[in-house]
Amino acid sequence: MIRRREVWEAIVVGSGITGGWAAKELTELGLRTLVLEAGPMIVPERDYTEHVPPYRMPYRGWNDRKALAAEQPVQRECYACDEMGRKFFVNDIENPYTTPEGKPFLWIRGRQVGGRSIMWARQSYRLSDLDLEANARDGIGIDWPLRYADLAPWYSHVEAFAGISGRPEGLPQLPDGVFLPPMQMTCVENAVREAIARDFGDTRLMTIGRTAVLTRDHKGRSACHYCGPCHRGCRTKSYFSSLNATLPAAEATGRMTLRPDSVVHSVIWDPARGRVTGVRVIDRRTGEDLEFFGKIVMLGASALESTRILLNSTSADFPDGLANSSGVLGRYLMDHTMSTGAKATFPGWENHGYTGERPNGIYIPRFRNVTEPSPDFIRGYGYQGWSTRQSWSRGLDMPGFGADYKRRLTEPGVWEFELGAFGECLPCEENYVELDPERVDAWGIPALRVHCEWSDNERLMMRDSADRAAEMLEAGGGVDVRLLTDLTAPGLTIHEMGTARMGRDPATSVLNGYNQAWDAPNLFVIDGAAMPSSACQNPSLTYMALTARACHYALWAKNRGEL
Amino acid sequence: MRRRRALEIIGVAAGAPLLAPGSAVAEALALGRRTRSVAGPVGGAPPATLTPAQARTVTALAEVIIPRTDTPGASEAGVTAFVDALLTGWLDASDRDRFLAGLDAVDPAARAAHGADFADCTPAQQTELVGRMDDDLDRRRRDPEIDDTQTFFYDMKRFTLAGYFTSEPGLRSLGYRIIPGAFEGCVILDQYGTGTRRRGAGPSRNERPERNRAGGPP
Repeated sequence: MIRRREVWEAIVVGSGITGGWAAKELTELGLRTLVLEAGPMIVPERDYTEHVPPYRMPYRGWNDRKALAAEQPVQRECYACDEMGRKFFVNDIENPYTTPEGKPFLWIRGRQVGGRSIMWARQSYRLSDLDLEANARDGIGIDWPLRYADLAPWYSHVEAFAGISGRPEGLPQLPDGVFLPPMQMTCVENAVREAIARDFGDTRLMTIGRTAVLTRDHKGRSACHYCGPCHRGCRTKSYFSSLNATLPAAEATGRMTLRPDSVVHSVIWDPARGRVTGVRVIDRRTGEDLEFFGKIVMLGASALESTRILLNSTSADFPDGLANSSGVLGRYLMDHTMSTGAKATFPGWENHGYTGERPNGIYIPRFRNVTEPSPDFIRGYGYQGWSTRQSWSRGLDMPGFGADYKRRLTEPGVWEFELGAFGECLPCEENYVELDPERVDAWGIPALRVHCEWSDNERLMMRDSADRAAEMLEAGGGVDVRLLTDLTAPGLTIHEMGTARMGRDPATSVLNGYNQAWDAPNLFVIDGAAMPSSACQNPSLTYMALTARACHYALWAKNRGEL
Repeated sequence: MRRRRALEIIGVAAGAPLLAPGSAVAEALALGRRTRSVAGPVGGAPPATLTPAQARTVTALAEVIIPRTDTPGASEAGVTAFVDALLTGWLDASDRDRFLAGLDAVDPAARAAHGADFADCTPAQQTELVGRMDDDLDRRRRDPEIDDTQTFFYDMKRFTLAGYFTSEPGLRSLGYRIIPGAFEGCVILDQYGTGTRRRGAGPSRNERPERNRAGGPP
């Protein structure tokens, strides 16, 4: 065991969306901060591959499927774990987890500097009081310990730095933010937007996606050049990631030390002082045991990894995991539902096209149980959607060959437009994680056992989302409308959250409203683990806002001598 | 072993003038060389599965499916090397064996019908033979009781399409640019069918070979 004498003013575990933000905020607030990342260093100039054309890939984008099957049988379920992008996803053999028979859960993970902020889908939406009051209103789970007024300035704070493009719409359920200019819709999207306004205008609206991609130069980062495969990195730093934005900002303060290859085993608890004192680490490459000490510890390792670290941090005071006096640590796991909706083709637009690859789609904000009550379920869903023209791959389903066939496939095919719903998942005690009694990862750390399944509320909601999507596509002139009704397994939306929820009462929550552990004042959990409900919006922007707020609160509390 | 070595040359130096005339490799390359093949190595997976005779048949078949017109055809685009890479490192053994068995049936069929190996048939004869395979695939496609994907020609066609439309000349024909520079959402194409203002065409979710995999949102 190697103990480092140095005591850092703060230790941040994880360098993804939330770890990066904590690094930036804490160092800019003047704290000497150690950032520990379980995976390797990523050097954009060396590791980003967004401009590698298909003909430079061994399988032309069809993936090294045997390697995926052998090394990444879970990760390959994510669309971004492709031929070039798969190096940003974990090796499933080194990083096992278990699920009970018949309850699949897909845990998609990235372990490298930048974490999943490299491959995230960048959609960025604010929650509203409709979401933050929902648990209290429905008597489900526990009430959020904060309201929109508490979060709004922090949303603005992170949006102004990250750069979010979008269009203000003045909707109470989806508050506007600090926006860069919106991206354009396609001709077909414009037609559907107008049809929705005409036929459903009292209750529904379609807007352009709000995305963390720059539509003009912003804070030293360049405007998007619309090359397409964002999940493989971005040399021009045109989309927000910790590698592209927050970590460089932290680095510029001179107060950040970033240590890759540092697999955090547990958090060290000092029973005499009632504080945490640092973290135990296993060096990813050497297997060496290390300890690092800090006055503040912030866990931003991703919802399930942060909870796993806490569950593995046992002591006489906390035999069931650190900061778990409530017994709810690991419970109330959620993910958004995905993959239901509808798809249609749009004849009549053959001479309309678009140029470039828009890293964004359209968004239809939640209307269910906002402006249109449902008799069948509570909460609701929003749609993401995109329209494209069919590519050459349609040729496989067409008879023919030869010169004319080739010429036809060189032309763009029919327009297709798909709406896919993202639905709120209710917090449920039976959806939980625990340490597996037997399995360990490549570093000997107990693996998680994940218990999670959709409930009837989610199933009814998603069925409804298919019908509502179909009627909107039809209104816009869509034909051959196909309902998409198959729900994917939880986890695949990669919005897993909960398991160390914040609340108002230490007896029923792990964290207070500042992401601070009730049981350990100098311990914070800043990632999605903190969420007591899921809303239906993509959550990363909320994690960023909560993290920035927690960092400023931590400094304030530290200065008052409370940590 | 000799075969492996010979086919490595196909991958590394297709079209390069270093082969003795009359060698099996030179024969295999003949079609490609006539059009100055620029296949190049397929991403470090050296061709290793197809025999020269099989490679010759694949090249000829692919060229019938996607022929040279005012733009390069499948053989010039390096489809044979791509097919070999798939056979070598991508397909499961059972799928690879089905493909090779189907491929090996092509020449006997050509000889029975026209008295020559497929690659040596006239263009009209080749068109007739491929037409038969394509009609058969289409029949299977329409029959809900049959899995049309479990046939040689299904794979031959999809490998040819993918190999061609992800090649440099194939992508050029689609108007692909690595860095478009801008997104214009709603443009009128100059003339439907030949306009240059159209989207790029890298492999996308829709072109993924394994179906039913959930895609994420943009």
